Amino acid sequence: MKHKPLPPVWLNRLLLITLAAAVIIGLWLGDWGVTLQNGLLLCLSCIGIG
Amino acid sequence: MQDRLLRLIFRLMPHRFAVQLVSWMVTNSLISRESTMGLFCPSLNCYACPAAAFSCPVGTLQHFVLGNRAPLYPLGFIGLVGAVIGRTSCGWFCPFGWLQELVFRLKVPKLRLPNRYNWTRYVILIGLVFVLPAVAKEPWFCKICPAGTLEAGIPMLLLNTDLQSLAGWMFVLKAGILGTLLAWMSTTRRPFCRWICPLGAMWSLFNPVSVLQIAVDRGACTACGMCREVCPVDISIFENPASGACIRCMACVKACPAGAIKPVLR
Repeated sequence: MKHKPLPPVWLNRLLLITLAAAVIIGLWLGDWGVTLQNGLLLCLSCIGIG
Repeated sequence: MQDRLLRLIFRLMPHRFAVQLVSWMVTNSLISRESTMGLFCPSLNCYACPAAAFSCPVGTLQHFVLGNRAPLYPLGFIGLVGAVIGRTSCGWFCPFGWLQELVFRLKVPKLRLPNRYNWTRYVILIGLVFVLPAVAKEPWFCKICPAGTLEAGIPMLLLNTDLQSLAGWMFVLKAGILGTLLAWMSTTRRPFCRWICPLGAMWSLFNPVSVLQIAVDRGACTACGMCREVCPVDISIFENPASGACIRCMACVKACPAGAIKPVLR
């Protein structure tokens, strides 16, 4: 059975760089604080209570 | 490098359940939430769980969407994990995936379902993680998430009796979804991962482009089907080694009698 060829390796490296940049920009824009605050707040409706 | 990776996988393979157990314990380790909740766990793990130490990437993603904030950090994290290891987290680190494998061990009649309808998880991803939270300003996937019911809803009600009066029809619905899934898990291999999980759906997209790949030697493969017999998501890896359904648990690597399946790094 012939397998479909994988996309080129450079595409993976480009993805890695782009996604790492997205994380860094997100953190620079304050996403860490938003994530932390969101994680510490207990959303009761999210778990079906209230 | 590749030989070393193969040796490591072979050494870890018999202990995958132990790795999943350790992963569950670390993600729910009661360690200081104030310092770690800004980090994501590489799996679906409800951060409303009283013991959760890390944030759930899907839960956070919805909160970014409903708050009209560009989800650069959560999407970047999910993408980075996917671009490096594809769906490996589903096979090795996800507590809910582990639960499904445990429940499937129950001695009940088994049901073999084809994977051809697994596009449903993309419908759930787009509808409940992006569109509904953006429109209704509520995290709709969390509202039906069975992992949340099991890890957070039920423990919270057991630990805090004051909350019990607040549990209404929504909780009954969630408990019903969890109960139905538990029954399904006992008969079918990893149904949540195959047809429902939005996190797995996102990582599926990265399987063909990730650094970690599975290679099948077409000359050595006899298509005996042993890989499908041991596969937790019921796929024949020799048909498509980069399949988005593969959770990279590497059970087929160990089981292949011809030694035709190998993990490789690109």
